[in-house]
Amino acid sequence: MNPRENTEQSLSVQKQSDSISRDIYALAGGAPPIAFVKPTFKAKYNTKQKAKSWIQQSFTNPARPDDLVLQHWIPEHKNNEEYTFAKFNRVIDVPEYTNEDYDKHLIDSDWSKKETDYLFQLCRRFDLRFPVIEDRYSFEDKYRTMEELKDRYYTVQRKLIKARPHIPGEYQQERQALIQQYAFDKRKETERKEALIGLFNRTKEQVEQEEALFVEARRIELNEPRLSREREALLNALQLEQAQQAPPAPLTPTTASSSNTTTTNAIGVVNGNATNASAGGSLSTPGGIGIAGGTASTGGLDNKKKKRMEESGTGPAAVAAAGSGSSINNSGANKKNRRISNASSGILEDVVPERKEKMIQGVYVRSQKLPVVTKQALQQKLLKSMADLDIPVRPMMPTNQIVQKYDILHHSLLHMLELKKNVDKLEAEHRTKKGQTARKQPPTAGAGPRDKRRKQG
Amino acid sequence: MASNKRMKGVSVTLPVYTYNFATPLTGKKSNDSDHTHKWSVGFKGFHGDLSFCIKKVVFRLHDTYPNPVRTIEQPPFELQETGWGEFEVLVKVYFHPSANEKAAQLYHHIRLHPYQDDPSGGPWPKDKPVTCFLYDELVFNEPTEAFYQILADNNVVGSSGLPLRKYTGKDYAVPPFSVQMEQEELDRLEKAQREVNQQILQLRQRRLALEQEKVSTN
Repeated sequence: MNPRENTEQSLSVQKQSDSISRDIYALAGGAPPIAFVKPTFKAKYNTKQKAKSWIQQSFTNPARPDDLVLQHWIPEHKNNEEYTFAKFNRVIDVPEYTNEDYDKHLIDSDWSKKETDYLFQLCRRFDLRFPVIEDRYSFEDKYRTMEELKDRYYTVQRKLIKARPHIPGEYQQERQALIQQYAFDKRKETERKEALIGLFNRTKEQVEQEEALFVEARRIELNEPRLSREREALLNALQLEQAQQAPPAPLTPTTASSSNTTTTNAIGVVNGNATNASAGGSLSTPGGIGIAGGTASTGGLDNKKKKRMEESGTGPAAVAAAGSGSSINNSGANKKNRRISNASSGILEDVVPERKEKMIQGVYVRSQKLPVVTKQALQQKLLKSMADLDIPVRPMMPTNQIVQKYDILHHSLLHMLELKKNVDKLEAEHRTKKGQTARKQPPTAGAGPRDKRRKQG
Repeated sequence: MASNKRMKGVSVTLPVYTYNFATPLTGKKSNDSDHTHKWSVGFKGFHGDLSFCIKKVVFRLHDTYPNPVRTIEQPPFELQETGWGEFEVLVKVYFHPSANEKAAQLYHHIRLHPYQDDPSGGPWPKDKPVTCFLYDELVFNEPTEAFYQILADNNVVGSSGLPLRKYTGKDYAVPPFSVQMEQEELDRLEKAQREVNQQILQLRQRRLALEQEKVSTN
C-alpha cells in the first residue's frame, strides 16, 4: 500500500506543477489510454461475514457408464444434491436398426451395410454433428461429402419411420409430419452449398459490381412511377405534335379566316408571291418566301390598311404572323396555330424561342415583362441597334401586340448581332488567308510559264 | 365559393396610365429652393373612374417628403404636392377584394421640366403645365369569376376603351393614347423588324459564301 500511496502522491504533485490545460495536452498527442493505469479499486476483505463450512464429499457421476467414485469439496448446504455437471450429458437419439430391418428396407446400391453401420456409429459418437462426421469419416478410403452423408442418414430415417408398425393411437398426419421432418434433397443442398462457396469466394471487384447493380436496380424501381409518367407524357406530346404538324398548310388559312378577313388576304397574297420569290431575290430557304411575301404584301396592303385600322389592326401583323406566328388575341386555338406556323416557318424559327403556353395566374404589369438583356456589352450593342432603327427602349403604348413584337424584335436583333460577329470573324480569317496566299504568289508566278512549256512539250 | 374559382385560360387586359402635371411656382415661395414647382401625380384608366375594380391607390413619394406613403381611396386617384426635384413615385394599385390578387406596382417618374420645345415653336411658356403620361396595361391572368364579372360589366373585357384618334384639343389633361398611336407604333416595329430580317438574310448569305470559300481554299 505504501508504494502505491507514494506514486499517487507523486502523480498529484506532478499534476500541480506541470499543469497545462487539457485541450493543449490533447493537441500534443494527449494522454495514453487509461487501460495502462492500474485500477484503483480494490475489493477489501470482508471480515464481518462468518466463515462457511465446506465438506469433502465422494460422489459418482451418473453420466458415466462405470461406477467411478471421486471426491470433491462442496459447501455444506449443497450436500446430497445431484452432481451438477451430469445434466450436460445429452445424448441424441440416433435410431437403431436390426439386420432384418436393414435387409428389408435399407438396402442401397451405393451404401454397403458396413458403411451404413459405420456412419451411424459416427453419428452417435459425434451427436449428429455432420461437419465433424465428415471430417472424421474414413471408411476404406472412401471420400463422402456432407450432402451424401446427410442424404443417407435421412433416407434411412424416413424408411425406418415408414416401416414402423402401426402404433395404436397414432394418426397418419403425425407420421407424415415426422417424415417431412427428414426431408432432404441432396441435389438442392449440393447446389446451395456450391452457391454459398461461390458467394464466399467472390473477389472485391465482383462485390463492388454487384453493389452497383443493386443500387441501380433499386433506383430504377423507386423512380419507376415517375419515369413511366414522363414516358407517357412524352409519347402524348409526340403524338400531339405529329397530329398537329401533319396538316400545317390547310390549318393556317382556315383558322386565320376565322378571325380576320385581312389575314386571309395576307396569306393569299403570300402564297401568290411564292412564285415571285425567286424573282424577288436569291432566297433558297422556304421561310424566306414567307418574309419576302410579307414584304411584298404589306406594300399592297398599305391602302387597305387605313380602312381596316379599326379592326384590331392585325393586317400587317398577320402577314408577319404567317412567317412568325399569329398574334391574334384569342386564346387556345390561336396559340396552337401559332405553334404550328412557327414550326413550318423558316427564318424566325430558330430565332424566336418556343412560346411558353402556360399562363401564370395573377396580375402583372405588361411593361414589366419586356425582354431584358443581362450582359452589359450586349445590352449596349442592342440599345444602339434599337436607336438606329428608331425604336425607343420602352414602347409608348405597351399593348399585347406591341410587347410581342418587341420580344420578336429583341430576339431577331440578338440573332443578327451574333451573325454579325460570326461574319466579322470569318471575314478576318479570310483576309488573313488572302494576305498569306498573296505573299506566296510572287515565287510561284515564275513557275507558271515553265509548267506550260513542259505541258506542251 | 364559386366566385373564387379561377377562369382557366382567360386573360383580361386593363389599359391604364400614370400621369403627372407640373407648373412652376411664382411668388414669394419660389425663392425657397424647396418649392420651385407645384405638381400632381395620378393614376387613371380608360373605363370610367375605375372604382369598380380598384379599391385604393397608394403613392409612395421620395423619402424626403414627410409621410411619403399617401393613400387615395376614392377616385380620382391623384395627389398634389410641391417640390423641386424629379423622382420616381411607386404607385401601388390595390384591387377589389373579389379579385383575390395582390397589388400591382407601377413606377412613374415625375417630370417637372419641359424637355421639348413647345409645339408652337418657341420656348415653353411659363403657365403651361408640363405633362407626362405613361401608358401601361394591367393583365389579369385567370381572374376569379366574380372579378371577371365585374370587369365584364364595365366593358373592360371586350374593348380597350382607347379613343380611336389622337386627341388634338386644348385640354392638357387628356392623354395622347389612342388606337391610332398603337397602330403607328406597330408600323414602326414592323418596319424595324423587316430591316432586321433583311440584314439577317444578308449576313447569312455572306456567312455561307465565306464558309464555302474557306472550304474550297482548304
